[in-house]
Order: sequence, then C-alpha cells, then structure tokens
Amino acid sequence: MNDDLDFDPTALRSFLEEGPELAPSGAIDPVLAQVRRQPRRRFAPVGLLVRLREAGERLAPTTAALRLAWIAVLLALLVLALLSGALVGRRQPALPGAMNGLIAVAVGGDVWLLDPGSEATTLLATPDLEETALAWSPDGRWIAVALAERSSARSHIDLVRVDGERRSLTGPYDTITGGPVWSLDGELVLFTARSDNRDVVLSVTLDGSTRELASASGAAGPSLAPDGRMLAFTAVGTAGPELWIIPLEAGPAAPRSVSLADIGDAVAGAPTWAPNGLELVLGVVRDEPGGWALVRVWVSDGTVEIVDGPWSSDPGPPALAAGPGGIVLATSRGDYVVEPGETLAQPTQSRALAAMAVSPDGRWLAELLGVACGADACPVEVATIRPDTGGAAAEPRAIGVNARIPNDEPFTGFLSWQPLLYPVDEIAIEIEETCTTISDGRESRAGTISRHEDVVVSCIDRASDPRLSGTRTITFAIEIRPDQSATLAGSSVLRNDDGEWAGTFSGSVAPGYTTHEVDATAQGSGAFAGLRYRFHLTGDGDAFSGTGTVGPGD
Amino acid sequence: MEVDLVERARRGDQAAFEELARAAQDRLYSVAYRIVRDPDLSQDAMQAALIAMWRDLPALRDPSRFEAWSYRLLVRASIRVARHERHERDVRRIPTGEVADPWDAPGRIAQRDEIAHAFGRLTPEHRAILVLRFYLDQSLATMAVVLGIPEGTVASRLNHASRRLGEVLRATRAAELEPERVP
Repeated sequence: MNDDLDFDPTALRSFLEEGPELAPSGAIDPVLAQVRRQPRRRFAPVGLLVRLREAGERLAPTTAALRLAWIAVLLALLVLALLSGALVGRRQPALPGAMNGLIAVAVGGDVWLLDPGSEATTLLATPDLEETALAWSPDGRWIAVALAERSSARSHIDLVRVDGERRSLTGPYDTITGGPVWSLDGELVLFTARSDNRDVVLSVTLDGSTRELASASGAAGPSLAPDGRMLAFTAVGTAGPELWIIPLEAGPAAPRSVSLADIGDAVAGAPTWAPNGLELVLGVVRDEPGGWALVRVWVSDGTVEIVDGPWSSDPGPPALAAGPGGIVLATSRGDYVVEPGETLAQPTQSRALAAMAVSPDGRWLAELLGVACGADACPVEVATIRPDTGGAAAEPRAIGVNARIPNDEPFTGFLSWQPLLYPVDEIAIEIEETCTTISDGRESRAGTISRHEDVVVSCIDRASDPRLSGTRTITFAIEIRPDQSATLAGSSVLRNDDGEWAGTFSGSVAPGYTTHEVDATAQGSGAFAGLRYRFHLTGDGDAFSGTGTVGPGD
Repeated sequence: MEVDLVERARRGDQAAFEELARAAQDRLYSVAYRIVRDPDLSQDAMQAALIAMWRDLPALRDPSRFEAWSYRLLVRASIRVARHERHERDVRRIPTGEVADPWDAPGRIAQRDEIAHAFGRLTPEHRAILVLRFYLDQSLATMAVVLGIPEGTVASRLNHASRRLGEVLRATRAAELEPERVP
C-alpha cells in the first residue's frame, strides 16, 4: 500500500503520535452524571429481540413440536415485552420548534397536512385530481401543488390553503415534470413542464401570467439557488444527462450546462443546492450495471466530482434535502448525512424512503417512509427527527398517514415543511433552568423583614423551543420574612444568538426558603420581534423547571 | 473481564458502564484528538460517543466486538463534531523560523509542519480513516468492522484519503514557492 502513497507514512505516523494520550481529568463525569439521571428502560425492545434471537439460535429445536413450542414462547414473550413497554411508558421525543409549522405531504395522489406537534393529520381530499408534488410559499400561507386530472391526465398547478381554499394558478400542460418551486419573495412559482411536444422551464406570477425561461429536451427537477438568483434544472442532451444553471435576473451571468454523460445515464430527482450557493449535489443513475452515484457540481467552473459511489448497491439513489446546516442525504440504508460523507445516525427500522424535508429552523428532518411493508403494499408514515443531537430528540417521531403504496408502483412522494415565523396560536413550551447568584444586592431591614434590592442572578435556560433557550439575567428585589418565606419581583432578559426576551416577573418562596414559584412575561426583540413569552417556573432557587407559552405579542 | 462488563452494562448496570467508560476514556480521547485536532472538541466527541454507547449497548450483539464498536461510535461523533467546527477553525501553521524542537533537523520540522497543515485541510472523514490506519495501525478488515462498510470500500476510501493528503501536500509546497501568497 505504501508504494502508492504520495507522502511519507513515517512522517504521518510521527505527526499522529504527537498529542495527548490521556483524557483530561473529569472528562467523563458529565457522561456518568447523565447515565445516572437516565437509566435505560428496563425492557429495551432492541436488546430483548436480540436476546430472543440469540436464544433461538442456541436452542436450535429439532422437532416440529419443539419448534412450535418455541414459537409460542417467543410470541408470549413478545406480548409481555409490548405490555411492559406500555406500562413503563415511552420517553417522549422533543417536538419541532415553534418556527416549524405543518408538514405538507403529497403521496399516493393525495395531499396530507401533518401537525408534528399534535400529530394530527388532515387529508385535503380531491377525488378527481391526483397531486404529485408541492411546496409551501415562503410566508407559509399557500401551498403550490402540481396535479393531474384523473380523467384526462392533463396537469395543472393550483394554490391551496390550509383551510382547503383552492385556486387554479396555471395549466393545463401535458405533464408537469418538475417543481413547483417558489421564488424567495413568493411572487413567482417556477416549474418544468411538457407542452406541445416541447420541454420548457416556466415561471408563473400569482395572477397566472406565465413566462418561458428556457427550453431543453427532458427539462425537469428545477431547483432555486439559496440567493434566488439562479435556477438549476436537469435535461437530456445528445450525449446524455446534463445539468443546466440559468440566471433568473438580467445581468452578466449566462446560462451554463454541465454534461454528466461520462458519469451515468440519467439524473435521479432534482439537484440540491448547498447553502453556500457554490455547489450542487445530485444523484446520477446508471443502467448497466445498475447503481447510482452522488455527484457534486461546482457552480463557478462546472467541475464535476463523484462524492459517494460510484454504483452503490443500494436499491435506490439517495434522497436529498438542503437546510442551513448543509445538504442532508439519506440512503435506503437509513443513514443521515450532513454534507456528503458524514453519518449522523444509524438506521432505525427497515423502511423505504421516498422524500425528505428540512424544517424551516434547520434543526429537524422530516422523512416520508414506507414501513412494515407487507406482501402487497407499504403503509406510509412521516418521521420527524433531529439528527444532530442525541437523546430523546434523536428518536424518530412517526406520524402515520392513511395511505398505502402498492408494491408494484414506485414509492414516490413529496414533503414540504411550512415556514411559520409568527405562530397563529400560542405554543406550549417546556423549560429547565439552572441559576447562579451573581450579587446579593443591598440589604436593608424594616422591622422583622429583611429586604434585598438589586439582587442579580444569571441562569442558563433550556427550552423545548430553541428560541427560548439561552442565558437569562435576572435583577430583582426580595423581602424575606422571619419564617424564611419571601416575595420577590423584578425584571429579566433572556438572550441567545438570534434575539432577546425582556420582561418582568414576580413570585414567592415557601417558608424555610424552600420552594420558589415565579410567573413571568417577556416580549421578544431581534428575530423574535412581535412575539410574547409567558412562563411559570418552580424550583429550589438554583434549579427550576416549568412550562410556558409563546405566541403573537400585544 | 471486559466482556463481562459489557454484558452487565448491556443489561443496564450503571456501575458496569461506569467502569467500562473509565477504562475506555483515554483510548477514545486520544483517537478523537487525532481526528478533530482540538482538546475541547475531542472531549465533546468522546462524551457523545460514550452517551451513544450507553444508549445503544442493548443492540450490540457480540460483546467481544465492544472495542471496534466503540471506535465506530467515536469516529462518528468525532466527524460530527469536526464538521460543525470545520468552517470556524483552521490548523495553525508554525511560522517560518519558529522551531518547536531544537533537536529536530530543520527539514524534519518543515515536513512535520507540512503534514500538520495538510492533515488539517482534509475532511474529517479522511482524517478519521488515516487515523485508524496510521495511528491505530488497524488492518483493512478491522477498519471495515469499525466503519461498518465492506473491506473494498475501506480500501477505496483509504486510497482516496491518501491521494488527497498527497495533493494537499503538493499544493502546499507549490504555494510556499510563491512568497507573495499568504496561505
């Protein structure tokens, strides 16, 4: 192996030998503390099933009667395990934050709306239409839906609201081959279509005026650059698949095409822009022998690089989605990847994966899955997961959709997550807080009451909504009575990277200076302008927990 | 002994897990450090790996594979941690004339400096596979178990990482021949 190396392996070995060999003192203490706080569930289903399988392998029953008895024992144990799971209860995964609204799903020819908080599902029933793709508008008010009439198969794009209101935007076309995609300002919907034997890239304004942006054989998969100035789409050139990048605004940039013919025979799905706008990632499939490769294309010079593969033996090309943290990639193996190459989580279940979407706050991933597939069909569910964290948030939270995909049909679908910058209703929040006293303030006495003014406390808040996590500085006055009960009132400012929550609070301390109860209200500023946060905390003075709500401000 | 501890920890025995974690912390930390090249981040990666270990131990079928499995969790955590920090950090280059070890020949210092710089420019995935091969001296078969991929894929990735390191080294040397360019 060393003969092929372009460097001196001894030098690399020597360099790697440098550095610490011992972990810093106390480095694992936080881990051990967490383990003590979170004992593993007694009947972990995975472990139990592994043990059952191992036991079965060891026993190796030889007669039919023994095999039957063993199967009966297994079934009984399985029922017991399920019952115990139900009795012990299941840790509730965290919920997507309040910036994330409903998940719209197009699957099996219908549109479903899912609330990842309550897990409520709504079917927007359209018996004469078959919906194939969709996208939320940037303001979260409309869904652009690509659909076909069941009778004529002619295609349209409609605008649909959460309450079911629907209006036709454009059509008919022979087929809508890609999109819809919204412009960043929400003024245009972009898509590709086949019409009059031509494949075209079109934009349509909200009043229905269309404009042809380009024409290319096999045009499909439009994808808008993060800055909204360029549109990428795929086409079929004379030599093979191509990626096109066209400017959407007048300027010096010219349309550009990149040939992918040397790599494969077709493009799978739409290209996905990296958040930096400098590169795109897309799947390319090859017919003989079959397989797919993940390809990165640099926008500046059209350089093409294979980043995964080539020719994975996986049954299908990866699903791709872009969020602020990078490109997310999932294969049928169930890996989650932020930027190609980094595995974030292992498969959780046997499943087929049709589509993914990143939440508007960039922290969550929704996946459209076919799970527990039977002989004829796969029931469909949408799982939400926060892949960059451990613990409860990393557990997929599945929402069943009452749809089944027949096994003889390709499992395709579309997901889009509603941006919800200003929640219409108040959203419940769970809070944990730990505090340290910075200053005891000025003490004065009035009879038997001891009064401290300008007491300053600094707290770390961890809330179920990331917007309400951060550092809270509290300044208050407290009056302590002889029985060590107290009343207190003051102001607080909660800060994090995105903004501030400033407000007032009041509360009491039970006799013996024991339980603290605090009620507070705060108005947001910065990214949280227009929102109000109200909460109630209970604690011992150092550690608090409680609940609150966030919603539109006054 | 370790197998017994793993077995007990798998059943939820916190004391057994604590003993396992204490025994593993140094080897995990030292490998994490080689991948992420930062003491604090190495600690983060080690802690994340240990928490994943506690969570996922029931799924470990063969306790004798605990060590390879623990490296798998660690590599995954290290890559994740390094990815998050990748755009905010770069490897510090030793300025010309600064001699880290007076007993080293200048050429060797320069070579070490080049390797350090080039290694820091690799993706965390590439750094991880080179650490498994050149720091832990793992065979392709062991690396395949650790990374959970076929041996052939390991060989291909290792080859890719080695080529990339060579390319960066060549680019670094070329850049240093141009005095005006600041790396």
